[in-house]
Amino acid sequence: MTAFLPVVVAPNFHLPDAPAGRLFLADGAGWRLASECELSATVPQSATPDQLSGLVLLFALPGHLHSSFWAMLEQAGTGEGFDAFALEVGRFLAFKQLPAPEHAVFELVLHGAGGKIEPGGLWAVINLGDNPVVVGVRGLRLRLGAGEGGRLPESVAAQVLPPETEAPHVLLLVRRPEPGAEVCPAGLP
Amino acid sequence: MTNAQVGPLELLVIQPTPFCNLDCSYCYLPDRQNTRKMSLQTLEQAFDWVFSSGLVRQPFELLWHAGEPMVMPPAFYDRAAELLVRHDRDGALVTQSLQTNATLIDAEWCELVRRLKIHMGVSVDGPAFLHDSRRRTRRGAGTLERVLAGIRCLQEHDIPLHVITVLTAESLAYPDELFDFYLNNGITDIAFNVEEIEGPNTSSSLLGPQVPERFRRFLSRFLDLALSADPPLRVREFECSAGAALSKRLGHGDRVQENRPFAIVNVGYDGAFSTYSPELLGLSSPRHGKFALGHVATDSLASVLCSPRFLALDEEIARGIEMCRQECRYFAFCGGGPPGNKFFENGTFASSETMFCRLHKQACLDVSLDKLERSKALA
Repeated sequence: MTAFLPVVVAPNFHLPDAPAGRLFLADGAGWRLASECELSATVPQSATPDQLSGLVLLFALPGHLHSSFWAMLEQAGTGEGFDAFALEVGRFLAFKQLPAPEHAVFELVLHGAGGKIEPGGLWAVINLGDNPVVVGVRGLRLRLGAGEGGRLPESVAAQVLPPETEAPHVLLLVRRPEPGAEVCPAGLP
Repeated sequence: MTNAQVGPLELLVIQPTPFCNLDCSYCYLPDRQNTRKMSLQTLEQAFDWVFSSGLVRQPFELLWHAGEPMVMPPAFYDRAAELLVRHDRDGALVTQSLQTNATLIDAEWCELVRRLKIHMGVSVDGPAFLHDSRRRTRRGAGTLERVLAGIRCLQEHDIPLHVITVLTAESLAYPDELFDFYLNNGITDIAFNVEEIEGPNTSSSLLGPQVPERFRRFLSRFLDLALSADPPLRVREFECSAGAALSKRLGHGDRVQENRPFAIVNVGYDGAFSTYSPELLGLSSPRHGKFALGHVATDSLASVLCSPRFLALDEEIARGIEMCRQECRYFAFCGGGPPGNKFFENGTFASSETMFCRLHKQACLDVSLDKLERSKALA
């Protein structure tokens, strides 16, 4: 059996039916939901805090934070207020003891068909839209529902698949700061 | 001690039945499978006892509680209202409240609640993964859907309600999820209880050494969300703490409702009555005997006040309050705390700090004052 990257729900989060209903495995030319047997090999029953750093961690934004993003867009039009939203996401993740790396970069991305997202330094992918987003990591695909996110291990190159419809994905990408990068004095989380 | 030296009555807790149709994991009721019900004769005797005791010197709250009150038929409460009118002709003295799990609420109940102007409190612990893990039927099924149906029924009849959410160690990781839950269900008035060690519930998930800090983080995060909502959510713990600070009630350290003799009167379904913490009714200890001090049909307040059992109880509680006064920097705020928690946690009323104190008093005051100071600094 292929060694899949382990996936768990992050501590202090509750995602109904996760991660089972969100994991797809390569099957010839296509992808299929992981079987019970494969899940047991992919989803650790327990993990120590040290082990968590090597796992994909699923999480979800609370509804009030998710909807505040859309309210912010409606009020500000072109993304004004994004810094405040990113700050709130950072505070929320910090409370959940899943803090973004110091000086992480928060990017709002509209990801359309045919688009490509630079995988370098991705710490987390968060789906701010309503349609599912699929992230490919080492032999498996991970489906993120509305408001859901995945924290990626440092050593893993993840690929965010473009949408299959015309509607673009709305993504919040959190990237680890590049070594030597200039730090924003405003100090996003 | 004379009748005039105790009370005045602030809270009359009446248990119309010890039975509850649920079997929550943290319940403190020892007798919740007992389906016996209070007779109208006993209820009448209870009202007669209260109003002839000399304790009624100001308006008070009548709370139907301790067991699921809605197991009784609505007609019981209609009859209770008729009995009350004999003592409180213009309705100025008594405000009725009812604490329920909401699973039995229907349109008939809503009509009664509106007609009798009963203040409704609903016990609900948040989203299903929290609520249904604790608040279950005897067969182990979750109850949230039925609770929410009851809440919706009240809301559809324009009946205001507050909720009481019991916080366990697990809940402390989910302030945002609780906030979402209240918003999504139109709940704007919230009280948090902690999972207390009381009666048959001899332990608590909140006993761990890291819990006080986790509790403070939870409350701080929840208050940030609740106070920034539009309109802000009402959170009892903040309102009590901030209210005490703003009204300059801090600093007196007067005895509080639960530790002042006969400020609370608790009457069981069988007519037995007690005072101090309502959780004591129906329980006993080898040293104190029954905490019920008498029966509404046979024992006058004057006879209870000179009974060795009451005097010993009151003396021990007074010693506990004095220990709090000497030892605790929060005494001015809490006035010595609930004796029930001292007894169940420390084994004696003559003791001071409890887990309940650390969380529900100390942490709530600290966090609330911090919010007040920050808002003042921003203003």
